[in-house]
Amino acid sequence: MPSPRFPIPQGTLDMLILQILTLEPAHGYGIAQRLEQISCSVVQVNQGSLYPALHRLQQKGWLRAGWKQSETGREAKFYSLTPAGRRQLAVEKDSWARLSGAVNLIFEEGSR
Amino acid sequence: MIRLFNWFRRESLERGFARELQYHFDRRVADLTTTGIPEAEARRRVAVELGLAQVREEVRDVWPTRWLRDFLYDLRYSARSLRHSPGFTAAVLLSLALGIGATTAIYSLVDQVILHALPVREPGRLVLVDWNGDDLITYATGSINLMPYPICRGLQQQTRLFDGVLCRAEIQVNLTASGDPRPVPAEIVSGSYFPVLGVGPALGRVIEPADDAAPDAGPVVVLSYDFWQAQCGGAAEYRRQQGPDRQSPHDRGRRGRRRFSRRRRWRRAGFLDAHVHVRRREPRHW
Repeated sequence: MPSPRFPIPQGTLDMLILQILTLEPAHGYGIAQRLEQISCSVVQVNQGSLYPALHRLQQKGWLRAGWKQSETGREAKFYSLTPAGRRQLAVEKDSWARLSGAVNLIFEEGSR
Repeated sequence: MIRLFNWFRRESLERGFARELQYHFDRRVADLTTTGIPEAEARRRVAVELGLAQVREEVRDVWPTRWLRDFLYDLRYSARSLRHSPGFTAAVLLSLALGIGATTAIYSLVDQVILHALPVREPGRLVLVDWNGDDLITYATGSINLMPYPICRGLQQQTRLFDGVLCRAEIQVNLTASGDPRPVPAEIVSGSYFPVLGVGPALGRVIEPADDAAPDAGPVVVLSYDFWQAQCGGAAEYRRQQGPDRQSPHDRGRRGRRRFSRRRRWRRAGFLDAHVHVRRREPRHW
């Protein structure tokens, strides 16, 4: 029986997108696929919600977008990380680490 | 113009986004068909998966042009509702007009009474005595009523009503300070002018009651501080700079003021103190 898929926690999609783009620029479909692969299909991302997030990140200046030829030969809109996006990712990673650490601490405290 | 630009920008944003979404759609359909799903079924499934209509709306919400469009719609909506209830609209407009008008009126009063009090001794005790005679003097800028000088003198001599009385008339003179003659706003004043106002000179002396004693007794002129600084460079001995043999500025002043040249020769008496701009005073303050 396959493990149940979790809806992605609110507010973490942006962080995941930024993280995926640290490797290389990618188009929307590529990001969706990679999210799926990396998370081993545990995390369920609504494919549609990816695009509002991408456009929002671009508005904030954390992503840059441009049309380039994709692996299929067809032009696709590729997103890449800006320096500001890289800084933002560091900030979000840090706060995520603190949050999850705190949650872990609470669980451990409770199970003792 | 901005609206046009934004609509134009919106067009290109829409086109780009449609292309982007189409790419995703086609790739996903292609991937699904390779796993053996018939194309029609694959297309249906991808459309559901993406939630196309909702995604479009959500992405548009992110675009910066969205708020402008919404604002325009809101504006149109409020205009429509205002038109449908003219009574309410009239009440709103009236209260706005009254509110703004009252505030402005009060502020103008405060501005004149408190913020722009005359820089003279006891400005609150100054009153303006006006004359509604027939002697209208017409100038290029309008017309004024002049009170005959004998009446001014009569007022000056009384001691019952006023502590002091000064007379003044605004006039424009052509003055040659440096370079070409140019029109300068001036005032013809009585000898009591400076003593009554309690204003002293920065340099030299002001016009005094003794200057009124007899015709040609005191042909003097007092320059305002601003004029002295701007036109004469703040020179203490302005007259001497012009050279004794050449026309003094006061002669030049006289030349410009033909109406008075027969009666008076003007001589510089002094310069006003830095914060006094007596010439700028408008009679309505008095």
